[in-house]
Amino acid sequence: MGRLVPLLPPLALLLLVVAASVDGIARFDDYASLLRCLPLLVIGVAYVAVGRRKRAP
Amino acid sequence: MNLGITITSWTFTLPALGALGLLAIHAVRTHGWLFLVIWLILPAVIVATTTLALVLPAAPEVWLDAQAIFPGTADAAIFLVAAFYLSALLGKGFVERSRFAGSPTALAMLAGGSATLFALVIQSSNRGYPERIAYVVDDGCRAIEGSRLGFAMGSGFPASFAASVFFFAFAYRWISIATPRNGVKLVALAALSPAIVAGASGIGWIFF
Repeated sequence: MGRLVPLLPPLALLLLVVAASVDGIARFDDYASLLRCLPLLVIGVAYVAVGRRKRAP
Repeated sequence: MNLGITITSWTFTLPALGALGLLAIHAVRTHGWLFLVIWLILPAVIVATTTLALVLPAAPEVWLDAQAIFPGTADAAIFLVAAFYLSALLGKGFVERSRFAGSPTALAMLAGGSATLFALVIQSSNRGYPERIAYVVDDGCRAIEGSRLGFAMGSGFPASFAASVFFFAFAYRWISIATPRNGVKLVALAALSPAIVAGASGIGWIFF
């Protein structure tokens, strides 16, 4: 569990991004919501990548 | 009985609750239970004022005014807190791995940048609010006025939300550095979230 804790924020981010995209499409036929979520996905991936690089000696 | 908490968008609310659960586990494991309690004050205040304003049909002015300061429904409050926490966390995660580590300004700027992106995401999931709240309150003008302040936090005016997260992250970091671990620090941090939200709503109210 201890090793999973740092991954929880990016997972939460991914969950929110997917939820917002699906919700935007399901309720408003707003496919642009996918595009709006992309920068957040990029930030989440960068966050994980930076964290891994820091831990590596 | 309608308690005024209009959760209609389950496709968004359930995953948002799940995300909040993950963040709660992270907060408890890394900062402790007290930190989580401090963060829960913000959605509690938002939901309480909204509920009071909607439960009392002939609501006294004071409750409608309170809702204007802390607007939003339960799912909006959940997402707001998650966005606040994630923005601050991302800002901290990046800045602590740079040569600006320890700088409140750099942390706040990165957190504000992340918050702008969150505001754009809120934009795609927050559109039904004026109609829903106006329907429940049956006082269209005032309710829409109140919910527009909610929009000022995110979708209608992303810069306002980014600014509130910037000030929040800066103040939080500054308090964290400047004060020892004691009761005063906890009270200051506990008061910070609602105060920042109220300030940001006030700024949004001026612009809208």
